[in-house]
Amino acid sequence: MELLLLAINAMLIGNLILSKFLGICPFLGVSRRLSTALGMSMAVLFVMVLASTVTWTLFYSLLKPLHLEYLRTILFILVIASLVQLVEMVMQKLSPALYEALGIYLPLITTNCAILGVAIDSIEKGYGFLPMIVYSFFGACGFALALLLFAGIRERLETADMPRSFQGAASSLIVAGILSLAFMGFSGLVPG
Amino acid sequence: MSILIPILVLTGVGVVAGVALAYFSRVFYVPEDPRVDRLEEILPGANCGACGFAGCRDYAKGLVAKNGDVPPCPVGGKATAEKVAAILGVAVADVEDQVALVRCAGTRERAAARGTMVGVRDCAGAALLGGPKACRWGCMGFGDCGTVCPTKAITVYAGGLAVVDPDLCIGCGLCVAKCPVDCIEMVPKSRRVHVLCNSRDPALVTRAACKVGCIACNLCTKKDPAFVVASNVATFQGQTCDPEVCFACPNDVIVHTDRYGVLAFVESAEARADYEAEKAEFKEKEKAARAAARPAREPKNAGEQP
Repeated sequence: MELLLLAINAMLIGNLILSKFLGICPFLGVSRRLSTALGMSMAVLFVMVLASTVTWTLFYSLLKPLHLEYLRTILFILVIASLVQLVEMVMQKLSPALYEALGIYLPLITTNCAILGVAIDSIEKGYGFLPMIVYSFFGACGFALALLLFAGIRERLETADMPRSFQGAASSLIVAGILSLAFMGFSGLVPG
Repeated sequence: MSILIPILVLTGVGVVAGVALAYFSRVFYVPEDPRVDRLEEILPGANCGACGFAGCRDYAKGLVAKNGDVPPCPVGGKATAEKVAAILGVAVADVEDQVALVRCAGTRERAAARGTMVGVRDCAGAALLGGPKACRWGCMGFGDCGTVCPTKAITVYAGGLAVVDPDLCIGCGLCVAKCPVDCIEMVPKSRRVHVLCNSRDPALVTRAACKVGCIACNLCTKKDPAFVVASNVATFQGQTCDPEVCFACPNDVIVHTDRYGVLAFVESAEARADYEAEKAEFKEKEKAARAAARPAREPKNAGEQP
């Protein structure tokens, strides 16, 4: 039950993009087409769970015993960056198909703040191993949900007749704001 | 002394990560064809994705994987295609600079209207309702193509048709992607002859909808095999042809750009009148030639008979 609540919380109420405003860069950058948005979402899902697992383990096995909790940010950046590199190499060798499918998005999310945000968040909230996995998995699902919704809306907006001053980025940002407002509605979903 | 611990930890993790990456990059090394690097160097490097690949490097990989059997780089044009062929050791693909062509000559006077577009005046919206013309394949003339054209090479003229200025067109193909009725086509810049109709409807439907529609009658293909009829519409696929072949068309949809520019042919009444006169003259000549040939043949046939 607790894990279910955590999942809903991570995906809808505390949506990474629309409530915590993490990962805005891919949100605006790769949401032109539904298909690329899906590729990005899958890559984020994969890396987020992996990165959280590794950083969580590192934190509790290395930083905590040495009382070096303050080093986590810089260490996590280092670890995530090299991890993504490693994953890319392994994937290219062992699963070229998956490597092709994720393509350019894999190296792109090395610097995605949503990944780092989730890794740090699950430490800060003191999650155990399983809750951390759930949190990062459904956090990424929430990211995918927001990205796909937004991409779908933007694809439709392309054909809309808009005043010149609203075309392009301006309308996208307004839509992002409205989406974010809509997601605020989820905050009443879980009492307390 | 306690400062040493974090330094050691951070350096340690960094070194471990670095060594691990270096090690794994050798373990998981995927040999890559050296030609990929060389190809990437000579490609434009714009990473525009117009070739359908995710950037120039991806395109270079595709080239190597298929040994050059991929669509040519539209930005680099002929010069790049030659360099690519040199590196891959294959024959130069038949690459030519391309320009866009709106395949429709159905101005307001020539094409039957289906209704009047009220409200948002753009092709994407009009296409949802079936378009303002009886013909659903023709140019709707709201100029969506012109809005995406980076060089402003497309203008909608008084007749309600978009026409591409071939001198301004850089061949990017954005208008082709934009046109909801697929009325715009990329054609080689050197092609002199165009069939200005896009109607895939059968002859009866086309004829009812437009005075200048291709009805796939095959009269042109009989004169010149470079004309190809497919999906109820003829297309010229060669370089050029005898201007007189164009007169074979009963509905006057074939333009020879040595004689008339596409714009003049579609829009200018004078050019049309010139064309009509020329055609009439040619028909007259043809008739005379036929008449002259007939009596010449008869005695010969008669002589052969025993």
